[in-house]
Amino acid sequence: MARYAARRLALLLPVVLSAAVVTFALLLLLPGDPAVALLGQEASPEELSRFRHLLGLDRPVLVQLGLYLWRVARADFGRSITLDVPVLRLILSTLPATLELATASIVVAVLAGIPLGLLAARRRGTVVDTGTMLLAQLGVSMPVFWLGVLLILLFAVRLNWLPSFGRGAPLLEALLSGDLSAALDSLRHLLLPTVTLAFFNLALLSRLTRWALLEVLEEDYVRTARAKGQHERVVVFRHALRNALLPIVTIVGLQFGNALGGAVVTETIYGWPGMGRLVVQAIGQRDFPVVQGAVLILALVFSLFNLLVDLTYAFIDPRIRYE
Amino acid sequence: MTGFRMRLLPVLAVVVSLAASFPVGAAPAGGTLRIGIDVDAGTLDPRLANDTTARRVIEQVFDGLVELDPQLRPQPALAESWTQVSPTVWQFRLRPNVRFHDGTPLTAGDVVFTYTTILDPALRAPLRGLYLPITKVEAADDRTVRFTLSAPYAPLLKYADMGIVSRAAVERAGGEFAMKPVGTGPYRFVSWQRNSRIVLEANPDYWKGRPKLGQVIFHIIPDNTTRAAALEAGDVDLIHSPLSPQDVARLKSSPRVRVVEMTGLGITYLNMNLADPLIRDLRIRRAIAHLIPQRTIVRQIYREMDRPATSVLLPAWSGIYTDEITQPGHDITRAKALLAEAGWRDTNGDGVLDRGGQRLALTLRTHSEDPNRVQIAELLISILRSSGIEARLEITEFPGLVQALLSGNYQVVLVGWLGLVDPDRGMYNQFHSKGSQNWEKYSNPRVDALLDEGRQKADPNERARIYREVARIIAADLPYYVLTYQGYVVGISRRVEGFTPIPSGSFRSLWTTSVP
Repeated sequence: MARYAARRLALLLPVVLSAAVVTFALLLLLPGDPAVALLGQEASPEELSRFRHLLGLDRPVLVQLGLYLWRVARADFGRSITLDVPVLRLILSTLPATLELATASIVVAVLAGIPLGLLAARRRGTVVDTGTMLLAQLGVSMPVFWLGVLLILLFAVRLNWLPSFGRGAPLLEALLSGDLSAALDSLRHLLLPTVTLAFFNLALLSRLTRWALLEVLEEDYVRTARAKGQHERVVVFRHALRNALLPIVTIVGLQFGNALGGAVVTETIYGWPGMGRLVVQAIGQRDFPVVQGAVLILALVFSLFNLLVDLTYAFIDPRIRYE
Repeated sequence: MTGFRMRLLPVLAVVVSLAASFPVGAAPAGGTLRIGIDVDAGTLDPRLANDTTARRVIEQVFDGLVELDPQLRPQPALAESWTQVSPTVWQFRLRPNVRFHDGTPLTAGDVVFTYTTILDPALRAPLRGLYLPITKVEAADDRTVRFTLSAPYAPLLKYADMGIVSRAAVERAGGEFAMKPVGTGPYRFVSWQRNSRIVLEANPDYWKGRPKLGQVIFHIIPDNTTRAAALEAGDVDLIHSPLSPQDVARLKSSPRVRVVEMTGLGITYLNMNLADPLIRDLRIRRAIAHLIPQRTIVRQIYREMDRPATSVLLPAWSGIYTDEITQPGHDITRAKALLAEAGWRDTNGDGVLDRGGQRLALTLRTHSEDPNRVQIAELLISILRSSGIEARLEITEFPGLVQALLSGNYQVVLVGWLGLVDPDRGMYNQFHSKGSQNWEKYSNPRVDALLDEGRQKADPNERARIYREVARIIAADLPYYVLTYQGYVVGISRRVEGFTPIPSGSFRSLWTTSVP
């Protein structure tokens, strides 16, 4: 197990390195550079070329890439061109908000999606099944921005129950310091973006759970368990669900990665001060160091999380370790 | 499976209790005004500000030598008076006993420092170009600043609203000054949470007197619809352009909101590249102008939020604006006649005009950030196509478009100008053959002479005559086809009192604003 983990950990390096190189190349392909973006319509050609020189943009591409990788190797992500602050500081100030939202949405998706799928599987063919699957269909096909706007108009404007935008105090901080009113405020801010971001995953998970469980319930050992006269609850939870869980864990792991990256739209709609918005803004402004740093960090978080999922997988299913 | 239902109950209970609770946090004395804005500020250093949010926050924290009133006339601010010693020398007398937020007194040295650093290329001040005619800034004494110009430059006074920074604070804070600004303005900086909010509090020692508000919070809400919804929900008290036309329509029917619409300081226009062999032909430019359904665009796409433009003269330039100058109007027959006159005919019957075996192809470019412009561009493409022009649309992000403009690599671009406080700002660099933003390579000796003359004339009648003539020539030569005068829309909660919207988008009147 330890060797497996070590090997997987070592594989992270090429993954992150390729992410760095690919991002670098993609940014070069974008029309417009940071000088143009920052100085804007008012810039004169002399100012532009002076600025490009200042940023090192006039050097050969390979030299730029080499210098960049050398800096990254020393954990130096450079400074933001537009904001003139260290990139790492920017990322660290926005990553927690994104992690909070992504985690909350995965928790909601799992806590609601898996039970709904179970319910649909157990009541297969009934109104409950059809209703749940209809909701799931809606969830996978509804655009995030549309759902977000609808929720804001209903819960913030119409009913005035929840705030329309923004983030409260960091939830974890509020909970740890025991400040209940702050925690409650954080939750109120968190609720709509979480539901918006979770809806797709929730729908996917419920469909997946229903399918996986129905599949497993057809297995011989389930019939045996039933034949032994075991209570239906024991059959479903102890025998069937554990095996049905394998594909679900994998999907949840991937979904967390998607939630990190896919939070961009949700963050924009709800004015959530996360990393997704930072990256989108940085791309718009051609703030290369920020985009590069953020992609690297995201790639790292994503890879680490997948590693965690794989390890969990290996833990649940001993066959994985020996491949 | 009652077990599942049982498990859902606590979740429901949490949702219900959340819904029943109310926002926390007490408002400080004097009331809090919450403003919803679209982008985060890039910097809070007035010398470096390049986005509208930065300017809105900065004008609360800093004062300029002058400030522009709603009619865009310079009024005394940190300078209590000024005199034009000679055509190229201006002298500003500073108000006595003004202090920065850190308690240090304002001196002529701070003004000299502010302008000297802006003129220094090393600072990378985005508006440096506006101040280039200044050759020397010096302190005659502790309260007198003297500007020497290379040539008479009438617009200087309007650009003297640049926020004055404290030299000591800048030198103390270094690069951090942009995040911890120290000025003399009505509100002082408290905190800035990136992409979330900027908090200011009243400056009790403000030289005009203590502001009525205790606190001003700028909430950054990038989505136009969410920003409008936040105002309707009462989560913010004030929002302003850019807003989506459909949201403005909804806001107008909201009982707790007052909507104020006026013509702003921006234009949306087609930039026609005269260096392009096709566009160089005036008949082509006129034909394009005749094909544009200006009123339909204003009605259907902008829902009357923007107004149809008649020339490059903005309605906000009082005394200079006139609606008597007009560009070619919507007239498809005339357009077709002009194309035929230029030799473009459909000789092979394929629906596309051609000349000497060459098809009439045209590329229109715009940027992706503004959905209204994308919609207009799509409409124009379909109209051009149905008129026998092989039209192509190219949409990139704004930096990509600016790149194309700067390199001259385009035919026609749909884009805009903002913050045109003065005709010089709206025309000199755009149409002077030596202008830094004359990407379309327009060159007309008469226009050059007029624009040079306009810079030197301070007399309002003279300026009106000069700029009207330029506008008349531009409307005929069509390096620009000005599509709309951009609207400026403000949505204000009815509980807010004393706020006066200004076409420039300035929040200067926050000093007199109050909330119960």
